[in-house]
Amino acid sequence: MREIRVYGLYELEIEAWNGIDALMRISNMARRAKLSYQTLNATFEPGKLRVRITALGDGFETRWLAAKLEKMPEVYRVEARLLKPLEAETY
Amino acid sequence: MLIIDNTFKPLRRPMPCWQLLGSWLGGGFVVKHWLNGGGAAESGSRGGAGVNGTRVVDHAARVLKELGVREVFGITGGSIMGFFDALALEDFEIYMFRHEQGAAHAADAYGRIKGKPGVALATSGPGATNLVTGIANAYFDSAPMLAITGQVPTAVFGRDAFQETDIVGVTAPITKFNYQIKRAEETGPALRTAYRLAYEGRPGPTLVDFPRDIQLKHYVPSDEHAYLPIDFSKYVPPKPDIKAVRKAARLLVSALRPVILVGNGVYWSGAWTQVLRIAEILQAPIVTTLPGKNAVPSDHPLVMGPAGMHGRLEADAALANADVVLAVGTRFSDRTVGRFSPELAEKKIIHIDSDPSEIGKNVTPEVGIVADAKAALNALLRELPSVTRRDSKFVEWLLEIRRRYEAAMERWARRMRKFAPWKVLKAIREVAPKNTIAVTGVGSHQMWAEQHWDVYIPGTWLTSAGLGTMGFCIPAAIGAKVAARDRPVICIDGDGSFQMTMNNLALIRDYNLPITIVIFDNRALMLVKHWQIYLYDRRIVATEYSPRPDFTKIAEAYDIEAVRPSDLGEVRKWVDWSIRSREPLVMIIDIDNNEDLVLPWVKPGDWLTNAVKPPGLEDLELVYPEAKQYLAPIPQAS
Repeated sequence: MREIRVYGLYELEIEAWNGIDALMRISNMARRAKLSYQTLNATFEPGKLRVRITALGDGFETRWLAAKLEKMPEVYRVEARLLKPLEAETY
Repeated sequence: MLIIDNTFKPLRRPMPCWQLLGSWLGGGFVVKHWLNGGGAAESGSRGGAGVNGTRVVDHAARVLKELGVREVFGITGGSIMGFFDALALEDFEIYMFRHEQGAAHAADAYGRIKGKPGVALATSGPGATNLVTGIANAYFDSAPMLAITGQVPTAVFGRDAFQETDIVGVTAPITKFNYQIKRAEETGPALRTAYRLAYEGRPGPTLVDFPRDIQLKHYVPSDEHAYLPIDFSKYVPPKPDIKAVRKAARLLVSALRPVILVGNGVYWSGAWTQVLRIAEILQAPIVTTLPGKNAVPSDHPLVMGPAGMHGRLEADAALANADVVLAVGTRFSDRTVGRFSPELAEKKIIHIDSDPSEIGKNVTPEVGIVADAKAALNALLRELPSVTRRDSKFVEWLLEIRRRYEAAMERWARRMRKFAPWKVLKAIREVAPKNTIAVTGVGSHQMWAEQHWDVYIPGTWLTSAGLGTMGFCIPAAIGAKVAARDRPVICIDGDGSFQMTMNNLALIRDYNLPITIVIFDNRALMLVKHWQIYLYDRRIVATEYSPRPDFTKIAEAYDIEAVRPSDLGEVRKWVDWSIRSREPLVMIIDIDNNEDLVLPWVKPGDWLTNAVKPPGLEDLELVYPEAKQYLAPIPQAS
């Protein structure tokens, strides 16, 4: 489990249900991650909410947020990916 | 306004005058809700009373009944009274609290004892916001409960209507799931989903917000969905990764001083037998978190007790000197480990948790296993040899610390002017049956109980650990008693904690709930005073109470026997009387707040071996001699 942590620009793609209430709950969870948010884009379709977030921060922190989001009942799918590594540090 | 006007549609029926007013004030949104059927519910002049049995609330009550709910805790009000009405018609037992916080704590405790959610009800606005502390408490202790809140009619949403609060917004960060019903046909699915989510996977509180107009609508369910569109399969923990389990087994077998850290996840998984078996194979001491104390029997020879800020010395020493830590069902709270680095980071950690977000959250493990604790430990048992060859020196060293610690506490007790709190706890434990459920408040009494109350049967220890909610004890003890009327329930409370929810004492006689309440009365917010003494140069600010109120008179007012024992013999006698005669009791224990310093104590952010020890133990070393050699700096070549 000892890992290389990568600081960089990450993207999270989330699919969920329950419209703007779900967006609120997702945002509440995101507020608890130590990430610097760059963009948040939400699209509401019948029965589905799509959210795309980009954020600067540590890969570990991004993974924590993705795991937390994945456990939310209204969330169907979470994908997190590194868009651009900015600085690497070994812990 | 043009955009709003676009939402207007032809009206199907005349609009009531109050809605016309709302429409005039608020524009088309009001009309839209009304058109959707929302505002029509109370248009009947009797507010739904004439259609009993066919209202949405009647359906909701029947859904709860189908789920096995028989008791609910709460306070009624304008926006929830229809639901109370329906619950009464379905013969639910309604426990009428004196403050909604109490109802929430009762539901939380009920859920912990029963293993299925307790249900708390409140009206909109202040009723709902009064639940918030209790919901947060359940969230941070992962307890299953369902809160159902009344809400103003949908027609006036967002208009700052009387007693309107966006409780879904307020509780979003402290619920596992919350949902506002917006249509009658969502009621059944929403309640079933929220109830199931409260216990599925890692337990937690859920909330359903129930607008008044929808509650009172006429509704006959047909082809109703069972659940909201939720994927419950994500709450089935994955099977343990066998490669990770094998690596964990190798680490444990080759460890010099393996230690098992037990959190309350072990209780929820029912994995204490597996924990004890692994400890016996490895001859590994078991330490617990504060809530994890609930998961293993204190009288097992390898159980060292809780570690951490107010942990026991032998437990702190065990965890501090471990080279490999098997952590099960715990989130590695700073209250348990003091600090995360450098000491803890140097240990090899095997972390088992059903919640993947807990793995690596506070400590990076050598091996992380996302799985149900019982399944993971069973897999581990299959990989471990039936016996390991490890000398018992480390455990013997820990037990010697325990002997010296207990002897020092005896000497300290003899010097105390009033009662020594830990002696009182031991006296009560002597007369309380093993299956007694012990509930605590929050404060110094809780920390003394953490250190000195023995839990013999897993599931008999209820405390507010994560949130640290003063006022938890009385209502939680009531909830526990409702859940287990055949078992003794003792509330171990402090004077500060007691005063926060003592109004709920009324329920004890109202519903014949004979609980034994022990108030450790030091007339201080003692844990804060403790910090003022050690960390704020003894500046005592706003932590000492006046002698008011007289707790015996409070008990008397609620028709409960109250006593102030003068010695431990009387403590034993009265507790025994209360339990045997099934009579409620308030027992006030006088404690001197100049002496009531809960030691040992690890300062916030400090490491476990730096614990401030009880008097007479200043020379006691918590660093294991062999570990010290190992850690000694390498001599520099000259």
